[in-house]
Amino acid sequence: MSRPCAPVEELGRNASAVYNASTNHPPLNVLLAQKTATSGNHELSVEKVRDHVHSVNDAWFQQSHPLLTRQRQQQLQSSFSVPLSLSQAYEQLFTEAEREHLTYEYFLEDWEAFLDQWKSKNAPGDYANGNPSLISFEMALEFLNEMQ
Amino acid sequence: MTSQEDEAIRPFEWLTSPSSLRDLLSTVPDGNKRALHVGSGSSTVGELLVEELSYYQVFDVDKDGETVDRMRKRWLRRCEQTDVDASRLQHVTVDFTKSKIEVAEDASFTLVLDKSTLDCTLCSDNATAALLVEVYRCLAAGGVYVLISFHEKDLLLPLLQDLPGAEWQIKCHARVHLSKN
Repeated sequence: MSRPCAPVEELGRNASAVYNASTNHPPLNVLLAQKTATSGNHELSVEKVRDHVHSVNDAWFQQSHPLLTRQRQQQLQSSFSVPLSLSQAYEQLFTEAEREHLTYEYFLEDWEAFLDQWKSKNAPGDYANGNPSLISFEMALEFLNEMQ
Repeated sequence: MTSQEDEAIRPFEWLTSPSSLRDLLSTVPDGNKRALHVGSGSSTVGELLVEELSYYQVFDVDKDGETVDRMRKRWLRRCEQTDVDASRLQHVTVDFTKSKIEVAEDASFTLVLDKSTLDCTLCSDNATAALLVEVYRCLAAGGVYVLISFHEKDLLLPLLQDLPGAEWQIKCHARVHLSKN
């Protein structure tokens, strides 16, 4: 993260009184941004905002919460002891919580995009067992690195 | 209308139900009570804002034109059964990455509601930027952008708080439970 956030009013537990607490659903975060602008300028620079989003996303997903931790690498090494099919790889690459957000269909889209890049850097014989429908441990690591 | 068409417009709510938002949205400053619901999909939150929270005008905005049309038809049918002025809830098809909401003037909404739409854009810097720029443009001075998200607040806070050029004050309800029912 490029710089720490300024203090923010946290409503935390006090807020719970506002909501229905009797639920089994995972907790959500609710942010309220009240516009204080008096300048009359309501147009933000798309380019600056895009750069900002990019740097916040990068900081979060690559530095603070990397997809590819050392522990996960070790787990993958074990589960990819032999190349896996796409459906098997999907189960091994992502946790249950991650799969809730990244469906198998989305994974296939990401995989196709990854494979297009991969093909430009590798020879056909570099596929796991020469089979483009299988994912080796090395390809799995490379894929997760690209994803994060 | 056939039962098949009825089935096609069955509302679906991401993350949480409209009724669970009643208390939260009642904490938003009154002002002229004009709301923009970004990424409304087939949610009925817009209907709640008009029917129960006295918003005099609400825009439900989504990029999926077919869903927008279906929700508009649902609303018009609903208004036929009540005395609510149908024009208070407008359904608009817009893809923020391609254009602004033409019917929305600058700084004209006291509430912009985002129920997991930002979540859906976060895999694309362009889509997130387009959404935030449009949210900020539409929000009136004193108005509130309410973001309901499954993402961690440590990701969301810097995103909003350090948004280049934005002058707004952030409050955070961290890890709250909202009912899905």
